[in-house]
Amino acid sequence: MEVTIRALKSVDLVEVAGRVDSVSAPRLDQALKDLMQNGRYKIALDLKGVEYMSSSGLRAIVSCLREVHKPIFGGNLVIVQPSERVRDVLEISGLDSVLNVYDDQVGAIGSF
Amino acid sequence: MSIKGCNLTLSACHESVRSICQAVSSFANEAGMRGRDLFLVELAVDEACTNIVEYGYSGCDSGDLIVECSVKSSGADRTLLIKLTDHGNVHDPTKQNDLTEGLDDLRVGGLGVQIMRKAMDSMEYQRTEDSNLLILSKRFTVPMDPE
Repeated sequence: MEVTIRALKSVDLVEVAGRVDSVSAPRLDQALKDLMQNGRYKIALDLKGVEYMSSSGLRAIVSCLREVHKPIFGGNLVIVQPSERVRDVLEISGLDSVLNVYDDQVGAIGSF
Repeated sequence: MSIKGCNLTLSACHESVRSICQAVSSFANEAGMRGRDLFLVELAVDEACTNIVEYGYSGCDSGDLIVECSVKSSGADRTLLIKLTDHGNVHDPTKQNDLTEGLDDLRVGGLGVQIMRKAMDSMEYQRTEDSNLLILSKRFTVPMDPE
Protein backbone atom coordinates (compact mmCIF):
# COMPACT_ATOMS: atom_id res chain seq x y z
CA MET A 1 0.00 0.00 0.00
CA GLU A 2 1.19 3.51 -0.79
CA VAL A 3 -0.03 6.73 0.78
CA THR A 4 0.77 10.06 -0.88
CA ILE A 5 -0.21 13.34 0.74
CA ARG A 6 -0.51 16.64 -1.10
CA ALA A 7 -1.11 19.69 1.06
CA LEU A 8 -3.31 22.17 -0.77
CA LYS A 9 -4.32 25.57 0.58
CA SER A 10 -6.74 24.38 3.23
CA VAL A 11 -7.36 20.78 2.22
CA ASP A 12 -5.08 17.76 2.23
CA LEU A 13 -5.42 15.34 -0.67
CA VAL A 14 -4.48 11.84 0.49
CA GLU A 15 -4.03 9.37 -2.36
CA VAL A 16 -3.99 5.69 -1.42
CA ALA A 17 -3.01 2.82 -3.71
CA GLY A 18 -2.71 -0.93 -3.36
CA ARG A 19 -4.10 -3.35 -0.81
CA VAL A 20 -5.51 -1.97 2.44
CA ASP A 21 -5.94 -4.80 4.93
CA SER A 22 -5.02 -5.56 8.54
CA VAL A 23 -1.32 -5.59 7.64
CA SER A 24 -1.23 -2.24 5.87
CA ALA A 25 -4.16 -0.29 7.39
CA PRO A 26 -2.19 0.82 10.48
CA ARG A 27 0.00 2.90 8.12
CA LEU A 28 -3.05 4.63 6.66
CA ASP A 29 -4.39 5.17 10.18
CA GLN A 30 -1.10 6.72 11.24
CA ALA A 31 -0.91 8.97 8.17
CA LEU A 32 -4.37 10.35 8.92
CA LYS A 33 -3.52 10.82 12.60
CA ASP A 34 -0.34 12.66 11.66
CA LEU A 35 -2.36 15.09 9.54
CA MET A 36 -4.76 15.78 12.40
CA GLN A 37 -1.92 16.21 14.87
CA ASN A 38 -0.62 18.92 12.53
CA GLY A 39 -3.96 20.70 12.70
CA ARG A 40 -5.20 19.53 9.31
CA TYR A 41 -8.84 18.47 9.56
CA LYS A 42 -10.05 18.85 5.95
CA ILE A 43 -9.15 15.66 4.17
CA ALA A 44 -9.99 14.36 0.69
CA LEU A 45 -9.17 10.66 0.57
CA ASP A 46 -8.61 9.48 -3.00
CA LEU A 47 -9.14 5.71 -3.25
CA LYS A 48 -8.89 5.34 -7.03
CA GLY A 49 -5.81 3.15 -6.79
CA VAL A 50 -7.07 0.88 -4.01
CA GLU A 51 -7.53 -2.63 -5.36
CA TYR A 52 -8.75 -4.12 -2.09
CA MET A 53 -9.96 -2.78 1.26
CA SER A 54 -11.10 -4.74 4.29
CA SER A 55 -12.77 -3.44 7.45
CA SER A 56 -9.30 -2.62 8.82
CA GLY A 57 -9.09 0.19 6.26
CA LEU A 58 -12.66 1.25 6.96
CA ARG A 59 -11.84 1.50 10.68
CA ALA A 60 -9.04 3.94 9.92
CA ILE A 61 -11.42 6.06 7.83
CA VAL A 62 -14.23 6.03 10.43
CA SER A 63 -11.82 6.82 13.24
CA CYS A 64 -10.54 9.87 11.32
CA LEU A 65 -14.06 10.92 10.32
CA ARG A 66 -15.20 10.93 13.95
CA GLU A 67 -12.25 13.09 14.94
CA VAL A 68 -12.52 15.70 12.18
CA HIS A 69 -16.27 16.01 12.78
CA LYS A 70 -15.77 17.18 16.35
CA PRO A 71 -17.17 20.73 16.58
CA ILE A 72 -13.87 22.04 17.90
CA PHE A 73 -12.16 21.06 14.64
CA GLY A 74 -14.98 21.72 12.17
CA GLY A 75 -13.43 19.56 9.52
CA ASN A 76 -14.52 16.77 7.23
CA LEU A 77 -13.21 13.74 5.42
CA VAL A 78 -14.59 12.93 1.99
CA ILE A 79 -13.95 9.98 -0.30
CA VAL A 80 -12.78 10.60 -3.87
CA GLN A 81 -13.25 8.31 -6.88
CA PRO A 82 -13.31 4.99 -5.02
CA SER A 83 -12.50 1.95 -7.14
CA GLU A 84 -15.33 -0.47 -7.91
CA ARG A 85 -14.15 -2.84 -5.15
CA VAL A 86 -14.01 -0.04 -2.59
CA ARG A 87 -17.50 1.15 -3.56
CA ASP A 88 -18.68 -2.42 -3.02
CA VAL A 89 -17.13 -2.59 0.45
CA LEU A 90 -18.54 0.81 1.43
CA GLU A 91 -22.00 -0.34 0.38
CA ILE A 92 -21.79 -3.75 2.06
CA SER A 93 -20.58 -2.21 5.31
CA GLY A 94 -23.24 0.51 5.21
CA LEU A 95 -20.63 3.27 5.32
CA ASP A 96 -21.85 4.73 2.04
CA SER A 97 -24.65 6.33 4.09
CA VAL A 98 -22.29 8.24 6.38
CA LEU A 99 -19.53 9.19 3.93
CA ASN A 100 -19.58 11.84 1.22
CA VAL A 101 -18.29 10.30 -2.00
CA TYR A 102 -17.12 12.37 -5.00
CA ASP A 103 -16.35 11.21 -8.51
CA ASP A 104 -13.39 13.56 -9.00
CA GLN A 105 -10.80 15.50 -7.04
CA VAL A 106 -12.07 18.93 -8.15
CA GLY A 107 -15.55 18.28 -6.80
CA ALA A 108 -14.20 16.83 -3.57
CA ILE A 109 -11.81 19.67 -2.86
CA GLY A 110 -14.44 22.23 -3.83
CA SER A 111 -16.82 20.74 -1.24
CA PHE A 112 -14.80 22.16 1.67
CA MET B 1 -13.84 -32.45 -13.01
CA SER B 2 -12.40 -33.27 -9.63
CA ILE B 3 -11.32 -30.56 -7.23
CA LYS B 4 -9.31 -31.50 -4.20
CA GLY B 5 -10.01 -29.74 -0.94
CA CYS B 6 -7.78 -27.02 0.41
CA ASN B 7 -6.38 -27.54 3.91
CA LEU B 8 -3.80 -25.46 5.66
CA THR B 9 -2.68 -24.62 9.18
CA LEU B 10 -0.91 -21.35 9.83
CA SER B 11 0.17 -19.32 12.81
CA ALA B 12 -2.63 -16.87 13.67
CA CYS B 13 -1.17 -13.48 12.78
CA HIS B 14 -2.13 -10.71 10.36
CA GLU B 15 0.52 -11.75 7.83
CA SER B 16 -1.00 -15.25 7.68
CA VAL B 17 -4.40 -13.79 6.86
CA ARG B 18 -3.08 -12.64 3.48
CA SER B 19 -1.79 -16.15 2.71
CA ILE B 20 -5.11 -17.68 3.75
CA CYS B 21 -7.07 -15.26 1.55
CA GLN B 22 -4.83 -16.09 -1.39
CA ALA B 23 -5.16 -19.86 -0.85
CA VAL B 24 -8.94 -19.77 -0.46
CA SER B 25 -9.34 -17.52 -3.53
CA SER B 26 -7.17 -19.82 -5.61
CA PHE B 27 -9.21 -22.81 -4.49
CA ALA B 28 -12.53 -21.08 -5.19
CA ASN B 29 -11.29 -19.91 -8.59
CA GLU B 30 -10.13 -23.41 -9.49
CA ALA B 31 -13.55 -24.68 -8.43
CA GLY B 32 -15.19 -22.25 -10.87
CA MET B 33 -16.08 -19.24 -8.75
CA ARG B 34 -15.67 -15.96 -10.61
CA GLY B 35 -15.85 -12.17 -10.45
CA ARG B 36 -17.62 -10.48 -7.57
CA ASP B 37 -18.35 -13.78 -5.78
CA LEU B 38 -14.64 -14.48 -5.62
CA PHE B 39 -14.00 -11.01 -4.22
CA LEU B 40 -16.74 -11.41 -1.59
CA VAL B 41 -15.32 -14.75 -0.46
CA GLU B 42 -11.85 -13.24 -0.09
CA LEU B 43 -13.32 -10.35 1.89
CA ALA B 44 -15.32 -12.59 4.23
CA VAL B 45 -12.37 -14.89 4.88
CA ASP B 46 -10.17 -11.87 5.56
CA GLU B 47 -12.68 -10.52 8.10
CA ALA B 48 -13.21 -13.89 9.76
CA CYS B 49 -9.48 -14.60 10.10
CA THR B 50 -8.73 -11.06 11.28
CA ASN B 51 -11.41 -11.54 13.96
CA ILE B 52 -9.73 -14.76 15.08
CA VAL B 53 -6.33 -13.06 15.31
CA GLU B 54 -7.66 -10.00 17.14
CA TYR B 55 -10.34 -11.49 19.40
CA GLY B 56 -9.62 -15.22 19.52
CA TYR B 57 -5.94 -14.77 20.21
CA SER B 58 -6.09 -11.12 21.40
CA GLY B 59 -3.74 -10.02 18.66
CA CYS B 60 -0.92 -12.22 19.92
CA ASP B 61 0.76 -14.73 17.66
CA SER B 62 -0.08 -17.51 20.10
CA GLY B 63 -1.96 -20.21 18.26
CA ASP B 64 -2.91 -21.90 15.06
CA LEU B 65 -5.58 -21.12 12.52
CA ILE B 66 -6.81 -24.13 10.60
CA VAL B 67 -8.51 -23.63 7.24
CA GLU B 68 -10.45 -26.30 5.35
CA CYS B 69 -12.21 -25.60 2.04
CA SER B 70 -14.43 -27.89 0.06
CA VAL B 71 -17.22 -27.82 -2.51
CA LYS B 72 -20.54 -29.46 -1.73
CA SER B 73 -22.70 -30.45 -4.70
CA SER B 74 -26.41 -31.14 -4.71
CA GLY B 75 -27.71 -31.64 -8.24
CA ALA B 76 -26.74 -28.54 -10.21
CA ASP B 77 -26.23 -26.49 -7.03
CA ARG B 78 -22.70 -26.11 -5.78
CA THR B 79 -21.65 -24.48 -2.54
CA LEU B 80 -18.23 -23.43 -1.32
CA LEU B 81 -17.67 -24.36 2.34
CA ILE B 82 -14.91 -22.77 4.38
CA LYS B 83 -14.22 -24.07 7.89
CA LEU B 84 -12.03 -21.97 10.18
CA THR B 85 -10.88 -23.51 13.45
CA ASP B 86 -8.88 -21.90 16.24
CA HIS B 87 -8.09 -22.69 19.86
CA GLY B 88 -8.37 -19.15 21.17
CA ASN B 89 -10.88 -17.34 23.36
CA VAL B 90 -14.58 -17.91 22.80
CA HIS B 91 -15.69 -15.49 20.09
CA ASP B 92 -18.94 -16.01 18.27
CA PRO B 93 -19.28 -13.54 15.37
CA THR B 94 -22.80 -14.72 14.60
CA LYS B 95 -24.00 -13.24 17.91
CA GLN B 96 -23.04 -9.68 17.03
CA ASN B 97 -25.92 -7.40 16.16
CA ASP B 98 -26.21 -5.48 12.93
CA LEU B 99 -24.69 -2.04 12.85
CA THR B 100 -26.89 0.90 13.58
CA GLU B 101 -27.00 3.75 11.12
CA GLY B 102 -25.24 7.05 11.66
CA LEU B 103 -21.68 7.88 12.53
CA ASP B 104 -22.27 8.44 16.24
CA ASP B 105 -23.88 5.04 16.75
CA LEU B 106 -21.56 3.11 14.49
CA ARG B 107 -19.73 0.32 16.28
CA VAL B 108 -16.46 0.21 14.38
CA GLY B 109 -15.66 -3.28 15.66
CA GLY B 110 -18.81 -4.61 14.04
CA LEU B 111 -17.87 -3.66 10.50
CA GLY B 112 -16.09 -6.94 9.81
CA VAL B 113 -19.03 -9.03 10.97
CA GLN B 114 -21.44 -6.96 8.91
CA ILE B 115 -19.26 -7.57 5.84
CA MET B 116 -19.05 -11.31 6.51
CA ARG B 117 -22.79 -11.58 6.93
CA LYS B 118 -23.53 -9.76 3.68
CA ALA B 119 -20.76 -11.35 1.63
CA MET B 120 -21.61 -14.97 2.43
CA ASP B 121 -24.85 -16.95 2.19
CA SER B 122 -24.47 -18.40 5.67
CA MET B 123 -22.27 -18.21 8.72
CA GLU B 124 -22.41 -20.88 11.43
CA TYR B 125 -20.49 -21.00 14.70
CA GLN B 126 -19.78 -23.96 16.97
CA ARG B 127 -17.80 -24.01 20.20
CA THR B 128 -16.30 -27.33 21.19
CA GLU B 129 -14.39 -28.05 24.38
CA ASP B 130 -11.32 -26.06 23.40
CA SER B 131 -11.90 -24.65 19.94
CA ASN B 132 -13.98 -22.27 17.88
CA LEU B 133 -15.32 -23.47 14.54
CA LEU B 134 -16.75 -21.01 12.04
CA ILE B 135 -18.31 -22.35 8.85
CA LEU B 136 -18.84 -19.93 5.98
CA SER B 137 -20.72 -20.93 2.87
CA LYS B 138 -21.39 -19.38 -0.51
CA ARG B 139 -23.32 -20.79 -3.44
CA PHE B 140 -21.76 -20.67 -6.89
CA THR B 141 -23.86 -18.32 -9.00
CA VAL B 142 -22.04 -19.18 -12.22
CA PRO B 143 -22.36 -22.77 -13.51
CA MET B 144 -19.13 -24.74 -13.66
CA ASP B 145 -17.36 -24.61 -17.03
CA PRO B 146 -17.69 -27.92 -18.90
CA GLU B 147 -14.38 -29.74 -19.32
